[in-house]
Amino acid sequence: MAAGDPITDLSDLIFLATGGGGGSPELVNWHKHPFVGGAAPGTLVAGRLTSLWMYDGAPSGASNAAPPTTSAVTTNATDGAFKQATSAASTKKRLLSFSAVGLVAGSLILYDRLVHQGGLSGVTTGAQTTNLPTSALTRQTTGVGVELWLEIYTLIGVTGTTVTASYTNTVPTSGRTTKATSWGNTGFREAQRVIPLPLAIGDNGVTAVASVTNAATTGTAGAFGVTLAYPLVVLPLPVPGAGRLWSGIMTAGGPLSLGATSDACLAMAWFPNTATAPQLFGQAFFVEK
Amino acid sequence: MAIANLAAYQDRLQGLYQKVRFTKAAVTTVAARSYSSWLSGTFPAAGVAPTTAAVPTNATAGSLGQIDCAGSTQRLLRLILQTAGATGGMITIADRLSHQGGLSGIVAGAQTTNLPTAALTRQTTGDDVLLGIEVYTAVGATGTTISASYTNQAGTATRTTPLTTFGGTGFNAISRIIFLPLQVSDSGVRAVASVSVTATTGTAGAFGVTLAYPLVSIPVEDVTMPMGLDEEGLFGFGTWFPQIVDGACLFFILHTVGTTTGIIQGQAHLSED
Repeated sequence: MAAGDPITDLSDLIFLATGGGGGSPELVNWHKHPFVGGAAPGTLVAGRLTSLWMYDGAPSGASNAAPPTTSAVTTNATDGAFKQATSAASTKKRLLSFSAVGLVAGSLILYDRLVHQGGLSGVTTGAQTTNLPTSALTRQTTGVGVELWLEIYTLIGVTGTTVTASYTNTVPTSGRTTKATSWGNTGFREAQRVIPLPLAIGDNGVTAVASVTNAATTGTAGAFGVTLAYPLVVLPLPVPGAGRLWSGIMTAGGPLSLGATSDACLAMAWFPNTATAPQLFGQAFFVEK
Repeated sequence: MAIANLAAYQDRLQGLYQKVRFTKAAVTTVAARSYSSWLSGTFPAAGVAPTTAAVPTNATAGSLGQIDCAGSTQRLLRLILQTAGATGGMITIADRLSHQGGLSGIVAGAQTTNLPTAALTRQTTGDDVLLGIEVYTAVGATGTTISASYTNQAGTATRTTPLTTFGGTGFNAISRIIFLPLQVSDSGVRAVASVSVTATTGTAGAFGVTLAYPLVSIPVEDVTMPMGLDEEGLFGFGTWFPQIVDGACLFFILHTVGTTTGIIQGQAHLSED
């Protein structure tokens, strides 16, 4: 059977999900705690996207002591990821469903973390190219739907300014520049904050980033980096303590393919409704064909 | 053995191997925190707080007590629930793999009483096995932190969980189960050697370690009224058909939106492939 053969119908899906036809059904139990390396995480701000990459949990969070430096392709084997099994070479891994319950209200984003790098500074003005350009994509290689995030690893400064990035779009045309967006000061400076950068007019994705430019110093160097992310699921959790289930066949017309290479780096981000850091518990189910 | 197709699945829904009925008394909760049904009766009977390390099974009081079906594959295909209060939340069915008790909320430093945990006899790789701290008698109102020394899914011993909250409101009451985060690079647990409370919580109480393997979580989303729920694997479980291995000690992990789970009644429908 060739890689990427479609799941034909409910009968096929049931057969695969119960272990037939090389379906290799897989369960990942996960939880996240409001701690980073055993200490309090960065301050959350309602409505501002927060990365759970560093948050403690099971499977473990990424190493707070060693945030990204040089650009790297992240995979299912990278610390901080769900660490689902790599599928057989002849099959694709697919997400059947994803459930979660949270301590506080917000929305949970499950995404494929394609590439990341770090070592950028909040006080350097002009184009920063340290540890850039980003590594070539190995998943979602066209860049369509790939988002350009700035991810803060250590608090930057209180002086508000703007930031842009030079990137290659999906064509691929290099030298594209994101629209200036807020950077530094409350809501745009805290550790674990993610700031998605808006693309130039006409663009619908990113294949690489060449440089990042602070318009002015934020006042504190801190540390931040570029993450290229491909969002897969948005799971609203509007009521603390009330669980929700995202189901591929109920929501997306079928299980969600994680791409041809089956080594997706599944990670989570959080849109908070409150400044209280989330505690989350859930499961993810996978099948192969 | 796999279920061949939709018709075979429908046959199994209609021709069940067994129905496991349960009525679990209300558990007092703090909203959105994780709780265990282990000490909750009345049918099947409530479990008791463990002391020495043991592997609980379907024959252990506190489990749902399903019958094994040796030689074939048993699956949970359907869950019917009725909750008696407007509590909602999420109910997780888990296999309780190993447990122990007798730990104290006032002893600072490493506690090894009744540890290490008994070796896993199910999910023996430890992958995706969760490390829970389960409170059997309330510990104190003073918040502190807790960690554990464990063997990970690769068989590497002396791994240490990052600190997380223990003691104080939301982290001290009976039936509270606090799942500990794992050391960087780990994705599961095979055994626990010691547990360390950073400082006294103010009350000894009693708690222990539970190694649990959640099988499926069912959201109870309508939180405005007493709730009836009838879900099956294909849609309600998210196209998941949890396998119930022989000896599995099934219990519930509960999340609520309020201060009680309310009485939970229902049936778990199991099939045999």
